[in-house]
Amino acid sequence: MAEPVEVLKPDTKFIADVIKLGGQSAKKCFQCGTCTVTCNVSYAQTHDESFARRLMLWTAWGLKDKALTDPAIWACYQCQDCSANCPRGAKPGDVIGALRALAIERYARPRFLARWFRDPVYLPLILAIPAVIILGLLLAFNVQVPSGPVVYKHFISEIYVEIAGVIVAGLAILATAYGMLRFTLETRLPQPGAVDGPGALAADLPAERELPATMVSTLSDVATHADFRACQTETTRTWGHLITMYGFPLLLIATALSFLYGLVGIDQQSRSLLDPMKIAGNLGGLLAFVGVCLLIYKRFQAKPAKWGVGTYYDWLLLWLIFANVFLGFATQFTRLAGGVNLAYWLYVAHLTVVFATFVYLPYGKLAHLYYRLAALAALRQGSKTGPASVFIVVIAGVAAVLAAAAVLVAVLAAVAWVAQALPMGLLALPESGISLNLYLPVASVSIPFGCWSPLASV
Amino acid sequence: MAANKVRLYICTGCGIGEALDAAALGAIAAQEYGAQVVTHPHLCGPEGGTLIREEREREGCQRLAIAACSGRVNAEVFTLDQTLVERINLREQVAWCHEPATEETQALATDQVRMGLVKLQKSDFPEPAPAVSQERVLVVGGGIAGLTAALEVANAGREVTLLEREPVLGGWLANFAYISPSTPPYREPQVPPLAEKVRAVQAHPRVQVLLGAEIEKAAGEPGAFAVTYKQNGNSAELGAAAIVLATGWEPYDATKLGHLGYGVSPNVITGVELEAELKNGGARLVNGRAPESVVFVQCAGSRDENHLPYCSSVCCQASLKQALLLRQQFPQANVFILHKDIRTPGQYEEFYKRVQEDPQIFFLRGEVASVAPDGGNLLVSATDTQLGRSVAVQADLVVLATGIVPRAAATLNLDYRQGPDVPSQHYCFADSNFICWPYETQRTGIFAAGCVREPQSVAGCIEDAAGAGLRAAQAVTLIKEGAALHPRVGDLYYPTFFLQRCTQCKRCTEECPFGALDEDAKGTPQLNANRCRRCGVCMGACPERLVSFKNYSIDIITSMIKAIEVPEDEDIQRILVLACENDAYPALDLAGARHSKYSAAVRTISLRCLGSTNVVFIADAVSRGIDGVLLLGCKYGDDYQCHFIKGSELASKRMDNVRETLGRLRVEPERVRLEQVTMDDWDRLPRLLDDFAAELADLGPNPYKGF
Ligand code: HEM
Ligand code: SF4
Ligand code: SF4
Ligand code: SF4
Ligand code: SF4
Repeated sequence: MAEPVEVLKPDTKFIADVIKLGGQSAKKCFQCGTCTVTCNVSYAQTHDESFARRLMLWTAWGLKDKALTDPAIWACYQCQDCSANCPRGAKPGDVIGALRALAIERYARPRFLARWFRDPVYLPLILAIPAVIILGLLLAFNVQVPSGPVVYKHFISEIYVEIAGVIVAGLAILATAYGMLRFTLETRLPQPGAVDGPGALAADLPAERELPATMVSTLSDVATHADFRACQTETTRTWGHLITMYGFPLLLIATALSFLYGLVGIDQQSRSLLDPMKIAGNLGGLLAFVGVCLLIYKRFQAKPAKWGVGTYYDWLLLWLIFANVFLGFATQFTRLAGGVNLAYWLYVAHLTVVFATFVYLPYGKLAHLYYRLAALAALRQGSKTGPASVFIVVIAGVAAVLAAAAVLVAVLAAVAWVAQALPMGLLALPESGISLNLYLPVASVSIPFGCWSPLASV
Repeated sequence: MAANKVRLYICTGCGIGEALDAAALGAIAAQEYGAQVVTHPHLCGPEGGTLIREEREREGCQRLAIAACSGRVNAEVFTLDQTLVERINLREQVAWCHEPATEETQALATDQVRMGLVKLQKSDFPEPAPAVSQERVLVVGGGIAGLTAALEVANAGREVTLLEREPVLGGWLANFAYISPSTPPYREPQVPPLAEKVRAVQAHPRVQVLLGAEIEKAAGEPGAFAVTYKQNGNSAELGAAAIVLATGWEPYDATKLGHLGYGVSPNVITGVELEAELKNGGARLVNGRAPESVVFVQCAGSRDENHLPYCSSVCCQASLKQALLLRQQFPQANVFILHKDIRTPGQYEEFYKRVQEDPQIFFLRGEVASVAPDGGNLLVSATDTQLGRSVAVQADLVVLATGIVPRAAATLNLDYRQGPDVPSQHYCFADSNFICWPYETQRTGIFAAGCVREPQSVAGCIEDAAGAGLRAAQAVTLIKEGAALHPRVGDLYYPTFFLQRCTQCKRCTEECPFGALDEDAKGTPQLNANRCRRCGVCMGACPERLVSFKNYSIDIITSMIKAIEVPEDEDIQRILVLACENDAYPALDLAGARHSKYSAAVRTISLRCLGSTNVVFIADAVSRGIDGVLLLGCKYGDDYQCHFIKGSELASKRMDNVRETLGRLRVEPERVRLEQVTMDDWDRLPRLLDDFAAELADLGPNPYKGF
């Protein structure tokens, strides 16, 4: 019985932070365990004997390190089955949501950027930074709103946008990588039957589990939202999320294509709406738009007594995505309709929001997309290789998408070159020709980074 | 026996007429008991009631038997002044629970009529009540319960003496700045309602207050208590008709809690000590500084077999309140509440929720293992916590939430043969029937209120005191009329002792559950009639059979048993059921009301208490050839439901004698059995009776049959 005695020291600042982020009900918990038995990701499926309940206790006690390094917080879908059933009116789903926000902040560097995301005071700043960068570019190059048909590159040359995008996105990617590293190091691994820590999926933890099996199981779960769909309280939201989530890889492909078009000097704007880039962009945008509207609708519908209407932190992501897609479509349609001035300025606004969404990826709620993947892998794998491998897979996946896009562009370019050589002049050559000009080396080094700037998704 | 002329009314309503041959019953009653018989189709209706009263006037017959519904219903219709009325239960226990119009059912009805008429002929009117000298109520204890009880009694119009040991009124509450909230929304501590109570008591014309007084001896009986007390060194005496015991509690002795650090450091204190500090300007500073960390250790010595095995029910809310007050005094401090469970009965749960809201009050369940010095401060360690492991918390100040110990013993110094204390069943709290009459102690006319009865909050004490006070006021009136208190409220009969035959065996004086019987120097019982609750336990106990009531005696019951006709046919069973009137008999009525069928061989006699069963009842039944005897009484033991506390238990102890008697008669002991039943056993009873009948059938007929 020489169990080491742990001297508890509540971190009251942490408690205050959780409360500010919508977790005030943590103090209401009286440890009955109803949340544990109602939660589909804990007891029913995985026999994690203390999930949700233990997080309530750790939070109420201000045991910050324990709470934030528990990978199980990322297994929670905030489905609110627990909140709907808590006899004490506590909302574990919302408390765990607040813990995730603080975990994102814990891993983010520089940390102040993450703090900006939970206080509306900083919203102007968040938007001002990309806006200043873009307007700075305009000023620096003394850009005038051109007359004639709307041609964006006459307004602001793609090259500047792309360089800026590559640089800030690169920074964001670095921060993401750093966060993932910290996450991998700090995450406390599940121990079967553990009461003092994550034991989620413990019963599902055969010792000989292989990494590939873990990856397949994690990714297929996410792809189908199988666990997410086990929710009883809030079901529409699951579909909203699924649709939004699928919108994003399409937008990513569109971005990558546009980037490559830029590299090879294909004029993007003049592509027909049936161009692969255009199809991916418009379809992705549509999915994201429908999805996010569903999510926003559900948040408005939420009954505060049952589960949170959401904090500013939650709303920020929803409105950013909404603004992204909305402005994107608005820009495209004003251009097609020939509204000159409006189109250029919508374009600036769109760029700003896009920056704000993706440049800040590691600092805001959207970071859940990789922490969740990593945590789910950790819970399944029961070892640090889980999260690490997720990172590798994500990077590899992105690279694959880009490679595919590059191949596509190369084929297009080849066809175009051949066509130009033909006397019939079937296809008009892009104005500047295939110019693998001077920024190519910089840009190609930054290919993985560039994917984060879906500049021409319109 | 002209004076014992009886008149029998047979009702044929409610299905009785269809199930039974009323004319045949009447013929037997007239023939065997000389009864005048009236048959009526609807006796309880206005016409029937009027008929009975008119005939009572005209004929002057003082003994009426009503063969109709159970005596437990329609009492208002069938109660007549200056008249002995015997209710013969032909409805619930005959017509409704047996096959109609059969020979056996008719035989059962006939026996019921016979038993009723025998009892009626042998019963007599009660003797006049002994005169009582006192009408005053004595309230012992001037805390919140005593103050409230005194006010309630005085407002009910009775004179009260309030006796307090300390030189001031108020008890513990005088030490409390705040109490946990007892009114909606139950969120913030409240100022105790003490000052106004004290003022009201002091100003009340019917309340006399004795301060600094302690009771040396309380002798006598309800209506005539003679209480000797000492005040300022002088002894004095006062008389009282009833007493309210509100002597309260004291905290568990913390010096026995060395393992929790008491005595190890001056900064380990009890909740009561903290309470006094909070009252007198606030909690202490530690080393001259505001404490940063305060740990409450709940259940300090409570729910612990080595100390107090029970939950005091209030220390949790007290600590919750103190935690809030400390947080107000020291806004920087963290307050930790280490508990086994937080127990906040009733609306105090709302208060618990309120305290939980404070982000710097921390709750953790676990077993506190030690409180030990740790550098400059203290380290509180707990094992088996909800965190799944052993943990420790540093503390500047540790508060031990010690439990409540009742001050029941040695406060009244009763001059009773059975000892000076108000008896306790559990943990030294004054015992009372916690469901049916919570304030009546095991000493008639003495009512307990507040923490001496059960650990409880201030609000609970106030409610308790109102109950006990009003009970006491009511008791004064009943005693004056010579009427029994609970449960036979209003019963005017007393037991009488034919002492010429007494052998001084002391069984009655020892067994009386209420200490009603004292002894003279030779050991002869002496009844204090107003202490008596009329249970008849003494009657059951007495081997000389010399205890009797005018309407309930060995002779009456044995005659009833003898009135049962035992057929010579060996295949026809007869079973005697002795059913306690409090739960078993009503349960049989309920079974009947639900038309559950059971063996018609059963003949039921209602007893005041199973404890009034005398072995001779069983001997008589068995020697008359009755196949088996079933005793149905209340649950006994620690959580007894017996309405006379020990009656059914004593009956079960007498079963040893019964077995001996059966052995002498060479009859199988299985023929007699005791079962504990409650009112809601009505659904189980028919099966129980049938099973017993089947077992008896297996044993074969009683060998005495036909003798
Ligand atoms: C491109 C990828 C993704 C996008 C655009 C995205 C978008 C969003 C959005 C907008 C919300 C907010 C919903 C609301 O407020 O009601 C959200 C929540 C959520 N996401 Fe994702 N998500 C992505 C990837 C993932 C992945 C990989 C997972 C892994 C299982 C995941 C799991 C969740 C869960 C459980 C929630 C609900 C909890 C919360 O609101 O914090 N998401 N996501
Ligand atoms: S259901 Fe509510 S009170 Fe019970 S453990 Fe979960 S959060 Fe706490
Ligand atoms: S919100 Fe849903 S997934 Fe999260 S803990 Fe509650 S029940 Fe489980
Ligand atoms: S009231 Fe609370 S502290 Fe007191 S004994 Fe009961 S559980 Fe323990
Ligand atoms: S009838 Fe009961 S209370 Fe009265 S003296 Fe006998 S045993 Fe005691």
